Amino acid sequence: MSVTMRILGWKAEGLRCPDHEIDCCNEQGETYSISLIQMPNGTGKTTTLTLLRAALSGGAANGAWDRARVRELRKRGGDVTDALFELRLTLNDKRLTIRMEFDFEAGRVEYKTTWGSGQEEGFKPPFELRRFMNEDFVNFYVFDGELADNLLSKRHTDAEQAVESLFQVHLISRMADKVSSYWDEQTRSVTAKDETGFTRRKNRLEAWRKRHADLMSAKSTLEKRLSETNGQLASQEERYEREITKEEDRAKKIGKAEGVVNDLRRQIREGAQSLLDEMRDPHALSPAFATAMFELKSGLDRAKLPESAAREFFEDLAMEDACVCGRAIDDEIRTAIRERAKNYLSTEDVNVLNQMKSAISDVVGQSRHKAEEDLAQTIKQVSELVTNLQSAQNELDELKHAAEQSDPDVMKAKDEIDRLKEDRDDIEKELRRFDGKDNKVRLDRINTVDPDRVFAIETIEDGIKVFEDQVAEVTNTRMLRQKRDILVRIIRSAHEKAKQAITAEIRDEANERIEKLMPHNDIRIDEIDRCLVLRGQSGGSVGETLSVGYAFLSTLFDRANQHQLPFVVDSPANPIDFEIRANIGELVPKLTGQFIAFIISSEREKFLTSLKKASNGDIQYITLFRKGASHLETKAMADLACVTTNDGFRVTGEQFFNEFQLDAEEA
Amino acid sequence: MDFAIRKDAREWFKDIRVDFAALPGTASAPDFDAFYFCFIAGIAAKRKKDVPATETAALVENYPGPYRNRGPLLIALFLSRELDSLGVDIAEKKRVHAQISRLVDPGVSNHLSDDGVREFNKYAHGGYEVLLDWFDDRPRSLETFLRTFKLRVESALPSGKAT
Repeated sequence: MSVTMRILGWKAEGLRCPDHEIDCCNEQGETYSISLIQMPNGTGKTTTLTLLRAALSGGAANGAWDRARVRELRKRGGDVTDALFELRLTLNDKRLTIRMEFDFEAGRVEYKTTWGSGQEEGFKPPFELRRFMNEDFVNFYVFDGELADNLLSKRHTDAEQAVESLFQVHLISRMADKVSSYWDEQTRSVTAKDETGFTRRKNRLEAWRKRHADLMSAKSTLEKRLSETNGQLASQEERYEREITKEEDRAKKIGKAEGVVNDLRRQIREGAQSLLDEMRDPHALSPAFATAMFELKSGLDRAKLPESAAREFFEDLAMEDACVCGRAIDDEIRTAIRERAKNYLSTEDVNVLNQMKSAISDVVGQSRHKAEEDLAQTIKQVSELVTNLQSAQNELDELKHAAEQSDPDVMKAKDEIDRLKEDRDDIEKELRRFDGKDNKVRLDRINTVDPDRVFAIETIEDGIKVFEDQVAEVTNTRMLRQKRDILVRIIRSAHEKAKQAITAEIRDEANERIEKLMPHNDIRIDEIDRCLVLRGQSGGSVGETLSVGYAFLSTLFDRANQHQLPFVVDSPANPIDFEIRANIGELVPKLTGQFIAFIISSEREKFLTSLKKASNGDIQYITLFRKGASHLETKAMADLACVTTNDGFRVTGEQFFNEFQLDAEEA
Repeated sequence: MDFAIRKDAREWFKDIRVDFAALPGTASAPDFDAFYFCFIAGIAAKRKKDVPATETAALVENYPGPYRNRGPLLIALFLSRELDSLGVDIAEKKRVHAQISRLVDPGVSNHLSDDGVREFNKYAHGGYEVLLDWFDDRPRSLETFLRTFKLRVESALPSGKAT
């Protein structure tokens, strides 16, 4: 079923952003293609985005947010005890409302969902929307610079998973489950040769399958926890950075030390790339390899290999009536020539050997040590850089340590980071138990193994195969099982190939878009795996990363045009160079049917003109700012389209939007 | 027949896979880089291992990206090691012929016969176990891996001669 989701608007009361209500619909009740919400920094853009993500994903449901996290959203300086965020959507033109009610005293959030028959407690979006309304997927359509960065980090997002969800490739592998169930069904209905043996084997199989399901579920829970912990870690690291740089003098010193560290890291990265390329030459790795190759060539030369005459010469000769010396060739001689021709290499073999010998001559003909000496020099340079980095890192650590000792806020953030890192390491350690095979488990003695003591998922899968074999044997369904295995293998291979083909197409199309967006930049996506893997580099500038993110997501949404999702972006053009902004502005209206962007006034330049041109003017302009924070209040209140709330102003209209000049809240 | 890497070997390299980049203008081949380091370790330590196909992942038939021009050198190193392990003296023309005909196939893009690729892969499969002996833990940074790898290759080989 195709899905069209639109955001009609939302309402926030009692939260860290100014109280406000946004309506994304025009007078006819249709959503605007583009809604631009201008909010100065510090007005609560991040809060609003967090709330939108939580409402769309159910991310705070069932106590998923702890008290501290809930209370972080409480309005500053106020004494509100509760708050509300309500998101209104349509799904295929049918209304869906998600309401989040905050109880700051208890530190809890309760969800209410209104869909079809009425309001229900909890986060309960309709079934067909669930694959788009979960924490992982929401990040792909409620997007910001940080998430663009995350697209390039395998710790945070799963780009491949997004492709799977959007194109429903996983349905192919569900066929494999169906095929497996069919075999189970057959083993149930077939009368066993030996009832006792059958029941025993079947029970063992069930126990191992149950263990498999338990381990998979435990693994999935841990992976989710890991992803959440990584998210919390990233925000704590940001907090740490904020705290540590709040004093100007300290910020300068740390900034300088960080600059040195980053520069050395860059040099090491480049040095390591050169080192890698040199090490791809086997003769550079050791004079022993160079000598071995050289001796192979010399030996072949001494043995006159390959010969100047190739096998084909003698095979042709055997077909002649007379030899090159003029003597007649009879059948006996003919057979002898043909037989001995086998001792000669074919022309093609000769070419391969000559090519190899020539390559050896080129690289080690003059010296067997030169390449290794050059490599040793590169290694020395990289090692020196690594030593310098260690010193620079020590210096930076000392500065940070001093800051932590003198400033309790910095220390607090540091402690929290340490705690989260410890949690992350523990989770990763637990996850490693599921990896690989358990060498202690012997499949030939599998009947004596208690599956509950095995944690290696692969070993459990091997055990299941053994027990399935036993059940198949006793139920005479071995042939059927073999057929099942073949079919399952074909289905899995089809699934893998479909996934690879789709991701390859998306990669290629996204790269074409990147080229259009940044014609003078050779940054490209090499592979779509858990994350987007860039060709020849592990990351880019903020602008590059964001552009790559846009190119990937626009391709993704474009290819899955049977599903129309809104695209919400924080600061769509802020970190992007002026010349690329115009290109982004042209791309945005083509991304999806509804684009909602939170922007600041300085971001309008270059971006807005091209955006307007490409969208045929179907743009909604909203300016939202906090009371008491701006000299623009009087001007806002004079505007007929101004709505005043407890602590904020909302003005709709293009003119006010364009005249508004305030990037950050005034102190 | 394709070159193939052990799945566990590929997993072992996962943290530095993203750093297996190629020089500008050349397509990267991160899995082949991992395969190459396994192969070199296997050659250096003279260790071969046959691994079931289900436990390996096929790579490519030809030498990809950065290895495009290095194929003949890899074949040279492989033939040199293989002839040595079979006790074939390079002067024994007939035996050399037989082995070259068995291992080399000019009609294939990687210039190795199925037998040749099979034996080539065995060095890489055995080489992964050598890497497990050489390193306490899987590599986390490219520069550390490369420098340590070079040291381990040096200690595995008698100075000057691989065979």
